[in-house]
Amino acid sequence: MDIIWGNGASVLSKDSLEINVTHQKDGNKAKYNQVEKVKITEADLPGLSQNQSEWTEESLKTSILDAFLKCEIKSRDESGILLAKVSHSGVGGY
Amino acid sequence: MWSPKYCVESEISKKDIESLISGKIPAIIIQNFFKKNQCEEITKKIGTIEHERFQDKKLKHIGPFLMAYSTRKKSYFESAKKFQKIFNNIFLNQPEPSGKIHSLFKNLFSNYSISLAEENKQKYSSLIIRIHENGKSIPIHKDNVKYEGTDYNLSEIDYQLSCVLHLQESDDGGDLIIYDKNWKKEDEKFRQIEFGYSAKLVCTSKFCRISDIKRGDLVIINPNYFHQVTKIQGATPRISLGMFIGISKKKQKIVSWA
Repeated sequence: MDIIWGNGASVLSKDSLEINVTHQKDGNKAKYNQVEKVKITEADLPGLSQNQSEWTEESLKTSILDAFLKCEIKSRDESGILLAKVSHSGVGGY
Repeated sequence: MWSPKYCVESEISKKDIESLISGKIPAIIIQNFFKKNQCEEITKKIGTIEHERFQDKKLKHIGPFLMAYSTRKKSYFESAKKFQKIFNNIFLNQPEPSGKIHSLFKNLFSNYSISLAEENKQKYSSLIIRIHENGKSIPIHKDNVKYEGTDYNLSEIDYQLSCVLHLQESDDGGDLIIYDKNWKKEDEKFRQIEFGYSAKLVCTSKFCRISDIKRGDLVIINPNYFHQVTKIQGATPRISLGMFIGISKKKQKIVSWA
């Protein structure tokens, strides 16, 4: 599975966002742009409900803007939007 | 000079804590907070405990750390409960460190209540023991529960402090470096994939390097300032016991957690 990382740049809808890509997994099969649109198929984000029907643009903004995100990419749709699992990355603590 | 305050327990004041919060000083080091023989006894006990492996086996920890459970509250509280029994065993014949740290803060903030943090009658983890072996280091990072722990009620505190009791020094290395740079959300651009931040973020910041921490010393820092621990060297692991203190001014309440 391809993985990209970066900072949440903007919210496009209650389940999609724009990400500034800063890191890519070695061995990714596809190429990725510096800015990608991502539709969230699954999320593991602090502050965001497990129940997707409760998400709002506001709650997504609070959770992802500037945050460092990991996107595990499932596919890219015809319009170019990535479908991905999105999580906060590297907050595990030492 | 941006220098830490070295003192003994009776010399610390509320003003010192305020200086730490505002960044006027990088750290407070309370020397001999625990006696050397107490640390040795605790270290011996730790040696008998089966360690929970954490973070792809690079590091050894006893006890859960909230930030590793930022979206897994249920698991965190279950783990906290499980490890409390282990801590009770470790500190069976010794002063319980979190209780001693509570007393320290109670003396400084006499109008405040102080307790282990709780949420829906579930107790947070009281502490975490870290065993850092030869070659391990802790990258540049900050700790900020208000940002990273938003699923927890604890994230509503006003100020966060980190308290680390040193139980065993490594032979060499293991220095604490604190940068005079307070984390801001924009700094997330400098994040590394695994953990921590790029050194570019702090390359122009002044810093304080603390390399003389002895067993029994309690080091208090404002963990929103970037900090790191240099590579541990030698056969003797660096063993420390950590917990956070959260201060809520309006509620006049202090809570602790790990």
